[in-house]
Amino acid sequence: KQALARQPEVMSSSKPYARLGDVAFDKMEKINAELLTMTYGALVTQLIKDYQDVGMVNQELEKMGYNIGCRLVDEFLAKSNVDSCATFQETALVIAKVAFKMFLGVNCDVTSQSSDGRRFDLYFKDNPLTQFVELPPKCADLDYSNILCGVVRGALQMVQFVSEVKLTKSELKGDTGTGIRVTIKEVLKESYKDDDE
Amino acid sequence: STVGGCRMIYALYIFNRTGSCIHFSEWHRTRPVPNAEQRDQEFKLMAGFLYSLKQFITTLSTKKENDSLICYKTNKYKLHYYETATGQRLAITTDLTVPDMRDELQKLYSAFFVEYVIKDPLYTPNTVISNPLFKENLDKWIKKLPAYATQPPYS
Repeated sequence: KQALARQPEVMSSSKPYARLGDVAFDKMEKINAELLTMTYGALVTQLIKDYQDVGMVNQELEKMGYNIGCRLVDEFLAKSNVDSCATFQETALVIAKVAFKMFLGVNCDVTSQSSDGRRFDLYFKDNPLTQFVELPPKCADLDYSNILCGVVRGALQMVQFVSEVKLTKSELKGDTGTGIRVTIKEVLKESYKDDDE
Repeated sequence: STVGGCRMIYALYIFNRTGSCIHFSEWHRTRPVPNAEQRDQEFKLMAGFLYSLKQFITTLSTKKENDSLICYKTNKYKLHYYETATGQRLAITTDLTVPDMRDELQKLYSAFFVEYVIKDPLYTPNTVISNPLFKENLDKWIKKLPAYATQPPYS
């Protein structure tokens, strides 16, 4: 940690964030992971039955995730004790190391980031949502974990980042883990509504 | 009006990102109670003032990054401020003897706002908080704080 303090330009070290993530995870109320897997599976199955269209189910999962993310971000800020991020690199690390650890219990990494920081990839193994799941051929295009993309997008929206979040890798489609790509499109400026004008 | 040496918490305002007041509680008010319209004006004024103050602070800041309002004091009261990255703004007014309330505001946010408001499925974000559990528990907790005097001030 001393060495890090002397080299402020080495922003990519994730150790302090990993520690924050572990601490926050320990404090969180836990539930049985299999309960989550089964409940989520039942939810997706029902959505497929209702919509009959995989594209619509993907969209719906993302929307649900968005609504969750909008609320989840306040709990995240309240319980994680992270300071504001000065760079997009920090934002990516905070999402991967603290948020994903805290809420999903997984060890997530930032596997790549564009030079301006606005586009980055997250990757983790052992996705609790996809345990025991197999995709039937007619659902080959289903983005099963799309709810997670919505959560990230909703959370970022509440801190004034308009983003696009897509699932890039899935254990259900032959990859070894779950990959999510986040692209920050716009940073919203503080706006203030003034009734008198 | 204040009485010398008597610790007191006067009021709590919570504003959302666009400046609407989503919650207001007060204790120990000694000025006359305003009507609804005057109340609204007070909230607008407070929200606008806090927003301008923050802009002002950032403009004058020597360090430029992440400088933010913590509190201000006049010769009659102190206002403690806490803002989250999500734009929730908490402001609490107390008498001058109360020390920094940043920790209390942080606790208020995480233990009450997040637990009773954000996690309430019946709550629409950015609207006025009507959850009675939030109000009751907040009230009980405020009254137990060392900064809150148990006896009303003599006037």
